[in-house]
Amino acid sequence: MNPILNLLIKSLIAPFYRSHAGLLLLVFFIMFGVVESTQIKLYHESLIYGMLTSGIFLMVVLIVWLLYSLKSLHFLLKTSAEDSYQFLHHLAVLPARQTHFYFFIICFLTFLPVFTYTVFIYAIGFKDKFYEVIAIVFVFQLALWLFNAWTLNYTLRNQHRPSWFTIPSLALPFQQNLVGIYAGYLFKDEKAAVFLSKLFSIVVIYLVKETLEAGDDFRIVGIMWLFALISHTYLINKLKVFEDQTLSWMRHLPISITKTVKAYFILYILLMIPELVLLAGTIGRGLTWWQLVLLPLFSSGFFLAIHSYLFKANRNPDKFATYLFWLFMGCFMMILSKLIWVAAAALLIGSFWLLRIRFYRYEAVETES
Amino acid sequence: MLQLNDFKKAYGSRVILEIQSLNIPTGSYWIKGNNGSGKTTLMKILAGINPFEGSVQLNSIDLVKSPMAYRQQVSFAEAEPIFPGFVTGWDLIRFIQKTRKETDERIQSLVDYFAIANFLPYAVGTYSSGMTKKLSLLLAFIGDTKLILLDEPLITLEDVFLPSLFSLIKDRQVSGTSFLLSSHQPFQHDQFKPDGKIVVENHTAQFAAL
Repeated sequence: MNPILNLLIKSLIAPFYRSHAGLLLLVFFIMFGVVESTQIKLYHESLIYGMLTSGIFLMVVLIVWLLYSLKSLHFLLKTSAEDSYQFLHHLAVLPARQTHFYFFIICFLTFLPVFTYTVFIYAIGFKDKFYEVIAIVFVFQLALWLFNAWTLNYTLRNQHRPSWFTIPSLALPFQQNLVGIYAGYLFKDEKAAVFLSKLFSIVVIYLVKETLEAGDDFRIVGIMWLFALISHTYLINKLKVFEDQTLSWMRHLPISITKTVKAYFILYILLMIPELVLLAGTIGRGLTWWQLVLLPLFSSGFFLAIHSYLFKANRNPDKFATYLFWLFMGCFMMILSKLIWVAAAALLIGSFWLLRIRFYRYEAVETES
Repeated sequence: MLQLNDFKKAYGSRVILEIQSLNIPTGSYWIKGNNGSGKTTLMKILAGINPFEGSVQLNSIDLVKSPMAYRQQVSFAEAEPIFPGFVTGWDLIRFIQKTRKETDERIQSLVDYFAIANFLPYAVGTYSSGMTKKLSLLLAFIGDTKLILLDEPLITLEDVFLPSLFSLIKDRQVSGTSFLLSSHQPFQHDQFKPDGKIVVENHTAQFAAL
């Protein structure tokens, strides 16, 4: 393989899929986990025919693809701007057309899961002669890849120019404590990622809120809450990278592990406040006050379980998706068994115990295994 | 003061440091070693940042068994400090002041000493490397610690500031604080005269003649 492309894939595509394992897992569950195995073929044919025959449904799908494309573009821009990616600037000496081609391949690879599904859309579309819709899908996806590649190429070649657009930052007055520093990172350095994660989870919670009726089972809320949590796993990963890269100096301070875990816990409660406020409107319709209190405890436990996993020494980064899958499955089963409070307690206690063991044994370095 | 026993640091099969026994008495010492010899690794381990095998004790307080009590006695300034770009210098100072329970008067005197009050209200991401280094050194002097570890304190600092830094070190020495300073180049005798030299080479560390 071309050495430049090889390096770009290693340094941009591999981290992209590691960081977005949670999101992809969630999409996989929505696509393949919500129907019985015997119904899967029919379910997907219905989805594809829905797209091919309904303009509104097609538009919704295109918007979802656009959001995914923006999320991947944001990741690529943010990652390539990091100090450790300074080597990418050498690409600016190559002809613009050549680097545009490399970035086009990179953007296509981030879109690979969507494209794989699109192949089936093309197959059915051709079979039933929906040429216009196929053309729209093809042009739309091509436009997304070309736009993302152009943006990356333009950014690489115009670093000397001041940015023409910046998302305004929230002014956070409480940056003199652990929670403030972590929150500052999320709401200043990762505001676009927070926005995209929140957009997805708020839509999920809004949908459940609108469909709930008096007498509905709390498990519906619990499962949708779990889906909403999955869209935040990218942020936990980023928080850990932030800790590794800029907060190593904190490890020599006399801050107890209990205090550190307390800070994570508060941060994760704060993170889910918008969804909680939204759900508060459904009290009495499938949700009680006690259950509303239980949800943030469960989500903090879920996030802490991911955070404590990331502290595992000599961790193989490729196994993160597997861990996430089993964590999700375990929680899913517990919610189905009406044991969400047991799951919340087990996650909180287990994570605290793991962090006590792992915190000082951890070193942010990839070692030989 | 500082005791290392059966100490080992390795990354997989690659041994970085292996020290059977090393006793460092109270005082100030120059840690010398070539690039890649393990000076920074040793400093980070002594600061409690990185894990290791064996035992490290400061005034009989074990780093592994009593991590909080140990860290209350040690502070550290990195060779190339990295802080979150969005926090201000004051945010970091207040954070460590709270952690190490330092008085406002002492903080103000340190800020005056380092002459950095002008840029403390701004985000650290806007600082030059020299400003960041000064801030990092100031943070290491916060609190009543018994051992201060300074990794390459001379790099990126302007020459005119060095006498002030060494004068501050002398003040803290008088009040009973020990220092470990790593540096490639020897210290000038009129500025700082260490009590001894510890050479880090061949995967170990031992005392050597000054």
